[in-house]
Amino acid sequence: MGGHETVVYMPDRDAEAPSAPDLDELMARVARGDQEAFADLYDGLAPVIHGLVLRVVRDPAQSEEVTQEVFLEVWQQAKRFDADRGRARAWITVVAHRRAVDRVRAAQAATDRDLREGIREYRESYDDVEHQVEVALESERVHKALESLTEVQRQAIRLAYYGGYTYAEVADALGLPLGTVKTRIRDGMIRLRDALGGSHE
Amino acid sequence: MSNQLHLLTGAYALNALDGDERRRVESLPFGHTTAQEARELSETAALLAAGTTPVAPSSELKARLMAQIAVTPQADVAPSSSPVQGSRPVGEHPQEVTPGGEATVQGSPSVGEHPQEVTPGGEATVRGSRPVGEHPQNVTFGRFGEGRRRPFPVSSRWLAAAAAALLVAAGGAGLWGLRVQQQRDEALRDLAAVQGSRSAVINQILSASDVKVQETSVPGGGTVLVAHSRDASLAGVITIGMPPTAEGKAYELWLIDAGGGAKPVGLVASGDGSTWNELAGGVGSAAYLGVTVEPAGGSPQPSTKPLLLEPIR
Repeated sequence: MGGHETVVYMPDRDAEAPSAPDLDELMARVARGDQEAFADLYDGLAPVIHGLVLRVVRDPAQSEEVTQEVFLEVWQQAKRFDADRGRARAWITVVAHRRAVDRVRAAQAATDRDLREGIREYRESYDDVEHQVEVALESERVHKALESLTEVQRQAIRLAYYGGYTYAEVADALGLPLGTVKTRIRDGMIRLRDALGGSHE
Repeated sequence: MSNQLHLLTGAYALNALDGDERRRVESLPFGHTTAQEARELSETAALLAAGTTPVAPSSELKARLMAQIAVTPQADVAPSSSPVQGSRPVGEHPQEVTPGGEATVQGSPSVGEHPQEVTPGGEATVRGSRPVGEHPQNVTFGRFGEGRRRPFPVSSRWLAAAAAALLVAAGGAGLWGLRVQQQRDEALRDLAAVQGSRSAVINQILSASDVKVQETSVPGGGTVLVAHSRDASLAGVITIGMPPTAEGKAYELWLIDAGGGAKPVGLVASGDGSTWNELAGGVGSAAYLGVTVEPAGGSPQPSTKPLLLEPIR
């Protein structure tokens, strides 16, 4: 990570258009079987969700499959989402990340790729992307929070979350003991929680 | 080892645990401090998604999804550990395209073999997805929602589902902008495939080389779809969301020839929802499909001005 990221402020981005309450309201309608609300929910969240999935899975075709699975699951499980908690976006993101990681792991098991090589490539491509990315306000907040972590915390969290690696793989890649990575990740996440707030808005 | 479990909450939130560890965290009772922390950190992790660049998926993805959800039932709220087989009561079907959701059939001669028997166990799904009950992943939703996942009750009101899929795939509801005949046909065909012989008619129609599917909005509400093959002498009419008729009235379907001669081809139950009428013998040489309001028992000839007079292509 170089010290100078290109940060472009985009105060009013389309992807952020439906504010959290709107998403929650849409979610409540989806829970009642409202297909039109589902279409709106999809429009509001698909770019963010797909961006995340693509980041983790990296293969475009597989990423589309995962994104499709995620939204199908949102439809199927909508009634079980407790709308009072007001976190439709977080809920869907959690689902998306889980599925993306599961997909990567499955592919990994199938190809038995060289882990270190994979992580090295991943980090290089990540750094490449980082300098070109247009970072929105929300994104900037996240980047700032990440920057407040220690180097090891940040590296470990990035590799785990954006790379889809297990903490054991992360430990291997960073040449650190398992226990160290485990606790660094936890400490780092707690720090992020305190910096960012537990839930979205 | 459970004294170490709390150290895993961060890795859990990042989905960085292996399967065993993940299960151990997820088997903690609700309200357990470690479980609570894991949940909070999961929400924090979700914020990391904002650190990625948004990328709009292809428009085809939305098309596929909309067709899928139209035929995919939603899981019920009540948590339960026992698999649920069979179908929910008809009225509970969630699709808004078929409010109240009665799938009714009346009138046409071959009608009896259709929708009522279709319900039990008939699974409706669309190409590109796994069958509804088969998702292997567990629990993801348990952290935010109520209870754990279980096999989904399978709704099978195939007619309503088919109608909804058709409507959505045809873009008739104006929900989203895809107007591709081929996808519409594929959606129908997929539905037909999972419905087996009961949807034989739709399947046959769609398999015909000269298949035509026409969709029309009815002034005053509702949508009518006509699917036919002249070569195969098969045709069917689906209505969706027609407004209720007055007491003692029904919609009647007519095939009308170029000279204006009208042949009654079926009664459509009043009330909203979706209906299917097979037109025995196909559309023949008819030039129009007409819809009128008639006494509930039907009329030998149209007695009111048609609500719809659709040229048959």
